[in-house]
Amino acid sequence: MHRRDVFTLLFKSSSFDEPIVMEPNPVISAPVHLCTDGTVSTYREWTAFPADGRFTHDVVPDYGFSIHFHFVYSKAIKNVGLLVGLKAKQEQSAEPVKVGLDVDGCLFIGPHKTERKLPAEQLIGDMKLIMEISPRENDKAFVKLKILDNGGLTLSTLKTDSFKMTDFSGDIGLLEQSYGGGKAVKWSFLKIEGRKLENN
Amino acid sequence: MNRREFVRTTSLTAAALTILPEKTLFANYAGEKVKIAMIGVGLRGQNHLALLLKRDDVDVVAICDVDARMLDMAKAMITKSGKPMPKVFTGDNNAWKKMLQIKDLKSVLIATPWEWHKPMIIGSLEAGLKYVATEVMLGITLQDHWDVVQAAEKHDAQVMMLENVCYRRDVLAVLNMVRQGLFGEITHLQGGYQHDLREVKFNDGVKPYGGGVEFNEKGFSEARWRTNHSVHRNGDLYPTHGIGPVAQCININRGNRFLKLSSFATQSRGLHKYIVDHGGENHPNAKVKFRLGDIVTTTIQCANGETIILQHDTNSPRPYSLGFRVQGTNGLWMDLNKSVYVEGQSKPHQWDSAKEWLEKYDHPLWKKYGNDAQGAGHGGMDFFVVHAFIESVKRGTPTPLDVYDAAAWSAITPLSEQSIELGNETIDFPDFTSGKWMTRQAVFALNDDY
Ligand SMILES: NC(=O)c1ccc[n+]([C@@H]2O[C@H](COP(=O)([O-])OP(=O)(O)OC[C@H]3O[C@@H](n4cnc5c(N)ncnc54)[C@H](O)[C@@H]3O)[C@@H](O)[C@H]2O)c1
Repeated sequence: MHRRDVFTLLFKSSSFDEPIVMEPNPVISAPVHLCTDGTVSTYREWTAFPADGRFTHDVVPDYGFSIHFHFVYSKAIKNVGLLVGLKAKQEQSAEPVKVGLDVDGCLFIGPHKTERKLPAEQLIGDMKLIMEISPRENDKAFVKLKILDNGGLTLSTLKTDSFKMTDFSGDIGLLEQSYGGGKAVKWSFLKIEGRKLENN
Repeated sequence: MNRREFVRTTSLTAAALTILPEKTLFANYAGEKVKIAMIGVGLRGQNHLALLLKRDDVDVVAICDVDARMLDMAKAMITKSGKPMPKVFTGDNNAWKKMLQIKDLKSVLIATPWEWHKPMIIGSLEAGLKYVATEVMLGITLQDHWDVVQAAEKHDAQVMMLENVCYRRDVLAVLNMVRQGLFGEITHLQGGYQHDLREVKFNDGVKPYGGGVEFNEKGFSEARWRTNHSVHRNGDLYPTHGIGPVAQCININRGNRFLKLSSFATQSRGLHKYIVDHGGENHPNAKVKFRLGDIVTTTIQCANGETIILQHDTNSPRPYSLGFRVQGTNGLWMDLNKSVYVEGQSKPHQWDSAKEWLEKYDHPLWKKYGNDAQGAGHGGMDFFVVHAFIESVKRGTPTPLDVYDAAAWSAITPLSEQSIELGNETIDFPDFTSGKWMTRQAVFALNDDY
């Protein structure tokens, strides 16, 4: 039905003097930072350490990705979490971003920290850290980190837009690299999910 | 005070009152009768009791309650029905545990305050009962919901939450329309619990509705326990009447699931205002700080793309409405303005009165049992939910509403509380089916059976 007819019907008028204006051109292409042509979804998961301690994957960070990390909290470990964006050996000047849960029960992403301190009695059993990184225009990133308890209840979240997507390109490592010794972070599952190049 | 006097002195709404026709259902039933016990014979329990007493395929073998007045009311109903008096268990809060030891007991119906549901369900399963019906709200915390799901799985037993609104006549007719593709692919749904409960949350300790501003020990019926939740909690405290019906339309836990939610609460004003208006500024309860926002709005995203808006609105003056809306690519139903619109069949951009559509698509269950349901609580729908439970027990089949439905619907409460607590954060929904939602098939109200 033509919108003029709708107007007539709604306002019970027989004629009206609406000027004829061209409709604007529709937006037909997605903004560059959301364009995923030539890519397909992919994921990799680990339940044991790779030999070199680096979780290497084929996710292209530019298109956004998420990381799921399941661990058992222990006060003995200072900070539980991940290094995201471990660069190749030759360009190690760029530091990876540290994300996780600190000894006070606060979530952190680099220098950012939640004010909310989770009490130790809420951190029992298998805990889950979920990090979602979504692209914004001009290489900017929107990062959300959350922690879920054993039953899947979100206990706390932290968001920031102060990083660039390139900060997260690279492998993933574990914080507190003492995983060989007695103070090891007990973790059971790590997954990275995102998009890879179609012909890769 | 006998029941009749009691009813006369209260302002029970016609909808909630059970005035069943004298006719007995399933008269001369020759099969094995369903032995059922009841925990909680308060006002809701008495509704269910009336329905069970009408059935010749059911033996109410025991009842349990801690309130002498409620027990007297229940006993008077039983005497009047001419059925044998069941064993009565009372005395303390754990009397129900002794009742569950009754030999050959198959099933139990729980109609107690919310905080008792989880221990009573799990206690029944541990006592070996294979069929447990519980009034709405499976538990309080998210962990409660997991505990019940895991107990039902462990004991291979059926836990059915008596979500009666799923059986409302218009709701079932609309489900029928959805299943026949009238609205196209469903994209958006709305529902809620929009019910002025101020006279339920406060009374004079004698009448169940209004007459005073007392609650907790000084209140009667729901004012005794429900109001306290409004003092301490802020979230959608009663989501199942709104979510149950819409969940059926989009096959939640059966090919679809809730993924995330976020909740928003208004300021809390209505309950305090009611106390001041009816009890005066100097009434001790005027000092109580209520946490529950007057209107709590929750948005849910589902795995197949649909969105749902739920509202909990119990502290303000307003006529009752569950505010249903079921919308698809081809049209929609809106409960509030009693309208349907179907592209190609309705006049463009104009609402049709829902009446003709609802009559045309009346559900086979209502066509078959509409007369039997007449007079049962809440416009007849209470008949169907009890009927479905009893038929499942008789036939040894899974209940049409199961523990996964109950958990997913009722877990909206702790999840919405957490969302509000975290500043309206979007909260992930746990998958109580542990992946089985992908392959489970729809079973609810597929025909005119039960
Ligand atoms: N589906 C519906 O339409 C609908 C309508 C009303 C109530 N309900 C639900 O029904 C349940 C009961 O509500 P109600 O209105 O009957 O409340 P009520 O207060 O009138 O009845 C609850 C009964 O449980 C008894 N009880 C409490 N603790 C007990 C214990 N440890 N052992 C045995 N009995 C115990 C109380 O003495 C009381 O008689 C609630 O879950 C409520 O949400 C559902």
